[in-house]
Amino acid sequence: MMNNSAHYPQFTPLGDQCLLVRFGHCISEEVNQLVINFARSVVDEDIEGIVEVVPAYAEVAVYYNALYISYSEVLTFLKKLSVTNMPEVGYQRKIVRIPVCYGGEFGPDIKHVADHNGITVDDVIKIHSAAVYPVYMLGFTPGFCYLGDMSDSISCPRKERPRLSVPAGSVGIAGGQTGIYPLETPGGWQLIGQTPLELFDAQREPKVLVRAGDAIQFHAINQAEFDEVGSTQEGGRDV
Amino acid sequence: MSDMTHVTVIDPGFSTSIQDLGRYGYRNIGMPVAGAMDSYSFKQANWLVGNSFDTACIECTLVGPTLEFRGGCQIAITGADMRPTLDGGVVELNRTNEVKGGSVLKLEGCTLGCRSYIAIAGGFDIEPQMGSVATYTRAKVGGISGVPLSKGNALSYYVNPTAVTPRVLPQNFAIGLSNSYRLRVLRGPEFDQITSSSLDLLFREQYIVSTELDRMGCRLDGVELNHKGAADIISAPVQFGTIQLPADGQPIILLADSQTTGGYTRIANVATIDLPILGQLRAGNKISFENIDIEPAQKLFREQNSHFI
Repeated sequence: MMNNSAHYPQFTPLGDQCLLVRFGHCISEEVNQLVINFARSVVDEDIEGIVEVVPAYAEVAVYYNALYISYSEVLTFLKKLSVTNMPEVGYQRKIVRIPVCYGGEFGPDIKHVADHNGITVDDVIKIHSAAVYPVYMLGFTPGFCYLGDMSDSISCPRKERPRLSVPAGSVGIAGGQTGIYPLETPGGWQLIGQTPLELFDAQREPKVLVRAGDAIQFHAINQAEFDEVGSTQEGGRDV
Repeated sequence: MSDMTHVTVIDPGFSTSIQDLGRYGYRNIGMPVAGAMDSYSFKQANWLVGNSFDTACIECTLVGPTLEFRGGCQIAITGADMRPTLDGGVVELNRTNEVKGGSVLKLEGCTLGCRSYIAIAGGFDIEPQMGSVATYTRAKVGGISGVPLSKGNALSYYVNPTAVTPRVLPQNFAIGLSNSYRLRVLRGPEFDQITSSSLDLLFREQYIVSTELDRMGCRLDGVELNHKGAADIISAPVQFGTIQLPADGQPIILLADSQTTGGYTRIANVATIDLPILGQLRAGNKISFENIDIEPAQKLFREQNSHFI
């Protein structure tokens, strides 16, 4: 029989209207599975007074309204849920395929990433698009996914001088991480390509294409395909 | 059925935006709550014109706007005193005011506090986005086109000159504005990652609000606090009121537009009852911190809000 005590979370307040349920202090698939599963089960219980549930790498923030439910009531409920709701098996992450036009004007730093690692641009594309990246959490900006499992062989430090403006949909590398900018922002990531998909759209259902608990796999497309996908989306790409 | 009319922005002031009490339900996709920085003054403005507490208001920052009201209505102004005048005549804060069609409301700069709220009886007719009209500029959602008000914007409302019996805020109910505040805070999840002498200093020293201050956050200047080990954490949830301590030892208080997750140690969190004060901070204000436990903090919050339910 599996000893589940290692999975029992710790509980700590974040201010007086949020309780953190902490499953660990590291970035790992095992810990994140507990996080995602627990977050889902809190939402499923649909308790009055609980406002929203936010998963992060290793903890879940349960936001509540102290006018309707007290700290001790939330704590009691979450403790009970953590004991009765341990997952037996891990769940399968839903893989979302993201088309990327690599290099050229969309990926001005791809050669730098290649050179930094002593490999070719084609190698970078092959390696980057081979992996399935778990989506551990969303944050930083609406639709921004924190991805895991990028290969060391394409890692590259951030730009010393961030760009003032990175186009929405840009796919980049910073250190050992890869990600996509859903909105135009300043940024210091090494840009290797761009997706024509709008990861976040306030007017659309669904608002985001990828959620915590999913996984992403990139695949290479050419300029013509990029233009075609871009034009079939409602609304412009400019954010 | 009343007629529809509008307010025209003649001058937008320093930073004026449509806010309500915030956009909830989307933090798990990285969308911050945004909303009124001083929710206390915001709710009072709505009470004064008989609105439900979450009705959209105009939030003014440091220097207020000049607005022309095409149709008659009732308004209320709360928060910082921006010396509002209506066609040149003084407008009292914290009470219901009658506005005749064609009037021009002018707000100037404030010298105490930072933000002022203008509520209109019946509210403005603005389409919510993702459940709220709170303006969040970074993602261009809410308000008017997702950005602060600019000259020429028109805000629709219903002509409703006798909507409510005029009200006055009871004495001492308005938010207490000052150049120096004491904030009640709870210990944060990583409070034990700073040295015990630093924890002592946090509750003993005064900090100064720096000029790095906007709707996302407020950097404090003062005695450097030290970590026992690393300053950074793996990205974790943060909220309005979370106090972070980066490696440079100067605390940052996160505000309404802050990101939903962050990578700095969370050493403390401002109690909900004192969040409205954060909306009134200006550069140069002095801050000191007082530890409060969760049950007393919640009790005070319920008392403060008992007349807002």
